[in-house]
Amino acid sequence: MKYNYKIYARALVSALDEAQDLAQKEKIIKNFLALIQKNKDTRQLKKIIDFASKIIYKKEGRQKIILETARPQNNLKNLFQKFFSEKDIIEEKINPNILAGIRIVINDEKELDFSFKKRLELLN
Amino acid sequence: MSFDIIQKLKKEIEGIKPDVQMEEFGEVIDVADGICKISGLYGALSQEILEIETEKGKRRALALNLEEDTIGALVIDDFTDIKTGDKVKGTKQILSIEVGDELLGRVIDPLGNPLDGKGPIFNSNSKPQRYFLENKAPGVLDREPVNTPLHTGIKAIDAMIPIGRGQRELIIGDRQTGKTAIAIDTIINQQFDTQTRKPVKCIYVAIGQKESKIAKIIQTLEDYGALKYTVVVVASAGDPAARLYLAPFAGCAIGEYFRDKGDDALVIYDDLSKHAVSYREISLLLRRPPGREAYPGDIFYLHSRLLERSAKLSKEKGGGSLTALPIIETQLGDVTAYIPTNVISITDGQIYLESDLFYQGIRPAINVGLSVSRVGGSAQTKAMKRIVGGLRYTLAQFRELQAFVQFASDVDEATRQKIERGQKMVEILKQDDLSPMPFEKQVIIFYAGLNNYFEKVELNKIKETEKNLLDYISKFHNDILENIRKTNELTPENEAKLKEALGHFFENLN
Repeated sequence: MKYNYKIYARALVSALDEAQDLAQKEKIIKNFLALIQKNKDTRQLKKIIDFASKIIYKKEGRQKIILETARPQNNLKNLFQKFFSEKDIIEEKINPNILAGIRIVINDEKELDFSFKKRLELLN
Repeated sequence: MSFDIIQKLKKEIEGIKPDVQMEEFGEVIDVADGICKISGLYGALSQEILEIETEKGKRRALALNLEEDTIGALVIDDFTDIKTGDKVKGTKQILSIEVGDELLGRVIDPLGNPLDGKGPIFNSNSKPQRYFLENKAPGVLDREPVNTPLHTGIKAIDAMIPIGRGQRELIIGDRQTGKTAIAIDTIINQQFDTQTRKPVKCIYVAIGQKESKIAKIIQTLEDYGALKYTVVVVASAGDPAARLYLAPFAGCAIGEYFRDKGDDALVIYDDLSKHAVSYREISLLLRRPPGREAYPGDIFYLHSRLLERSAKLSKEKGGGSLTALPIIETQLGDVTAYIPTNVISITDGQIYLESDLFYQGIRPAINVGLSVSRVGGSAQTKAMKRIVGGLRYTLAQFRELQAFVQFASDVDEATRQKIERGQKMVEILKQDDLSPMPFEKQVIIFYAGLNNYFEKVELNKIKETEKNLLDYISKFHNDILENIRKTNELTPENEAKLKEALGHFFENLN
């Protein structure tokens, strides 16, 4: 039977929850990857990890913040850290398509778009 | 000079302060056959327009299936540019169309874009309104019974299956039996029925038809001067299923604009069987469970909510009306199939066309026995109602006798006379395409026919005599026609005049 990536992710998260220490967690992950390989579901792996991390973030009350800029910036992470909680995970990403400015993506669901590309679109 | 322009532009651009807000977005995870699966976008509404940002610009999609964590959306624009991973945003808008009087005389697609090459529909002076494609039908209190006739100009229909303004009358029959012809004749006839009644605005919705046929229909309407009060909504056989699905709703929205304004409108859905097929395609692609004949469970509701929007509004609501003439194509005369039975039960009657009658030369090939109008009778003009009262009975009797006489060797004089009368009546009811007859002329013909004035006319000369009679009446006794047209009645004085005129005409015939 083929399992949906959500089922895998939920199973992984609940198994990790029950783990006592780091060594056990590592063992669970190793076994999990072996299972995926055995079931020939490696193609779903990215989806599984994305979904599992979403569940974990939600559980821990964290947010995943992506700061998209057109070019590499210095000290961007630190500059934005104060706007978010300490638990939140901030990532930087280079996306030349936005031309200039910054685009802030929260939890892959919402965005605040201060990019030049958006401005150009609004001019239309 | 150019420096000035650049400076001005810079100033303008600097002055723009875009209002950046937190926006929700989703991602295309699957796209095929005009259907998109979208993940995320948890706040999307049912029937909301979504914007997919592709490399070649934005493409619109209609959110139809809201599932646990995906949305099944119907792509309205070209779907070939959409890739998985494209960003999708909601617009918080429900699908709507711009409507206004400027639409009359135009050919548009279901989204309101012109297709006739006559330029933009609305100019800077016009004030178009936005009407939702999916709209709620008027409630019980907003309606009143049908009371004004909508003359089709077809003798058999106006006499025996009268249609009222605000009624929903189904035209049903096999392929090539003249269904579209009835609809076109009805549109053309509206220009002749304006003296005591409001002119009717017409909307012709072509669903899944050949472009060549649509072009021919538009040309016919133009040639007969009917395009100026008609809007043609086109979703041809080459268009994606999404357009075919939306076309009748767009046509209905345009009709509602006229209805709400207090005007009378007529909308023709040609045809709803193809609409059902396109909805089945969409539903199956959206993985909705198939039911009978693989149609989805809500196929009945699809048509009932569309046709329910046709109504006669009460005086308080402006007294407008929207009449619907849906067309259904049957396969080998099978009216018991799923879609025909559905639409028959929704509408207020049906005009049933038969291929056997068509090939016998009885055109329009209406089967009078199976055709019915459930509410139109109260909208029929007094003149017509009084005269054609016995027509259905005469024809029914004739058909019965005809079947019986096939086996009998000799028949008595009374039966022979009845059969002869029936044959003549059938001959009178025959009518060519694109020649709708004003109702006052129909009254004259039926009066003469049912009072046996045609007794001595040979069967093959009925058509010619009918034409000559109408010529004679309109040339020498136009006051009779004028009186019927104005009063909608055949007054005793007028009847006496008509009797005299008919007597004179038929005496001098031989």
